[in-house]
Amino acid sequence: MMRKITLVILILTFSVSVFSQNRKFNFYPNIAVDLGGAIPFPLSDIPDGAGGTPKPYPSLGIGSVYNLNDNWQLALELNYHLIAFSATADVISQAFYFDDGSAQYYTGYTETDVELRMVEIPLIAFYKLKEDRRFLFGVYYSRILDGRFETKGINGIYSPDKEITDNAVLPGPPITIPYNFNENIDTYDYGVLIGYSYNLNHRLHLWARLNVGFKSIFQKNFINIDYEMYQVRINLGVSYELFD
Amino acid sequence: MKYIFIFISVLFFAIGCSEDKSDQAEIIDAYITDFSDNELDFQKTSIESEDGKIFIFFNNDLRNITFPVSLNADIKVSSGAKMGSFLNGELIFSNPDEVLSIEVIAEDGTSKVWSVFLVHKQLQNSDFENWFDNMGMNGKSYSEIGLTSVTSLWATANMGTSMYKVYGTKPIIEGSNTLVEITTGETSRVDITAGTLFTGIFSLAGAIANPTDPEQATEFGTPFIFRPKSIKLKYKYQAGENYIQATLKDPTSIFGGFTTEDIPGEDECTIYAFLESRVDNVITELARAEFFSGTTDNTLAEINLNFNYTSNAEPTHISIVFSSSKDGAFWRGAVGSSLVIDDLELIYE
Repeated sequence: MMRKITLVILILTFSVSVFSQNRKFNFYPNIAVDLGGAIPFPLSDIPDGAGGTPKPYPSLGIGSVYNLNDNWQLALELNYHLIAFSATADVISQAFYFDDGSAQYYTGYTETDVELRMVEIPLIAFYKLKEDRRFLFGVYYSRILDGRFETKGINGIYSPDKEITDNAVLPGPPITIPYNFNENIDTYDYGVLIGYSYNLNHRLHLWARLNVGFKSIFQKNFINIDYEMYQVRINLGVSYELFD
Repeated sequence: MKYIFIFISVLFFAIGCSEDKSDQAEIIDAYITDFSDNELDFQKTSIESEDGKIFIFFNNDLRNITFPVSLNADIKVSSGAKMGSFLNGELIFSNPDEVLSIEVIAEDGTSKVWSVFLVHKQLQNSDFENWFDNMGMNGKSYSEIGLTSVTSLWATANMGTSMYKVYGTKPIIEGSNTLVEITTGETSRVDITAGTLFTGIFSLAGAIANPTDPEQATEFGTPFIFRPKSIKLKYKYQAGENYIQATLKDPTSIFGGFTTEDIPGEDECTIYAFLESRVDNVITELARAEFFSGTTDNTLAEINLNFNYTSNAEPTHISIVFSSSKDGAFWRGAVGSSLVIDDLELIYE
């Protein structure tokens, strides 16, 4: 992974040096705020009444943009993100599968806290809509440096017999049971992004992006729960092009 | 612009002047100033803030004291907090095992209920007569030792296996007497689950967080300051037929299941007790009494286990542990092993 990050930095550095010879390149730092996190997939697995609260954290990055022509630009960035959110839900017979295929079910209230620290490398295409507005879309690869996925079942009913949890009368015993899936978070993620950029002036750009993961944040061999979790987040930020 | 500046200044000033109300509803000191029976030999009090428990130590065998007993207590609470109950300072216990509740209300209105225990030369519910209906993880009712889950100084692993409708520790009612039967069983997930009874707390969170290490589910010990010579009780034991060793397929995960093999030998029960000094996070064992047996007994026998003291220090805690399979924590034992106990007593010189 470090080799890939080094490669990106080299490309960005190369871009800067090329810029001195070729005005088609520019170089920019950016700062942004992430809102969002991960949602269960399929979406039908989201329980009715479930709620999520994103915890906004700043992200920092650098990027290099190449002017393909008057309307199109291509950018490569290297960004550091801390994504965090908490969620609550009342679930019915949520399954946890053991390796032998047997299951244990839970009905009750849950609280979940998720945090992902990652380095993201997006490749973004910009299309000029007006003089000061651009549509953007692209793909990203992110390396998850550290992940936390902790959930608690509170005052609920547990059983290997689904009929019992299907018909559970709540609240159950006044106990809180923590489940920790930190070890099951994968080390990478990839997906697509779309967004919109507004030029405050010819160097300062305000933008909003929607990132959607194309793979679960869990490891492929983590098959102990019914659903997968995909990154979905909004990234609001500003970037400043260093050269005229 | 000037008005915005003034508004922001006033806002910051107001925020600076405002003071958050405390949510602390702690009891920071408790002292017994008077009691109704002159035979009572008050020693000291001990406060466990995390669990909201106060222990009042008497150097008596309270079974020999006439109840009810009235204690006048001077209780100091954290700054800004006030007593929500126990306003007249009098604690009235109707029997030695009764646990009183007192409420402390923090400055911000947060309420905390504290449990007040009498600690004397014998342990609460040491005749094992008191049981209550508890709700298990599967929502079904089962018998748990004590009067309530908050006030019992004894614990079992029943809650941990209740999901599977398996209860390793149960009362046996014979006429007016109640005994305890501790059995080794199995669940659909774990091939061997040794029944247990101990002074302390069964930590479900510890069990879930450390599913491959059953001992992490037990927090042994209850406050105790006396130095008994021995522990006396009645017991009988019958080992299960097939002595087995279950082994985790993946030593780091319980999700992968077990492999099980028959092993030579026979299951044994274990009964042991130890006294500790727990001071400033330093735990020192002061004395131990222990007993193992694989011998089948059809009738209750009385045993007396001497404490082997290795220190003259004053104990702060006592742990008494029973298990139907001595090595149950290592997934070793025999399904069906049964240990029956009754009438535990601490013996003094």
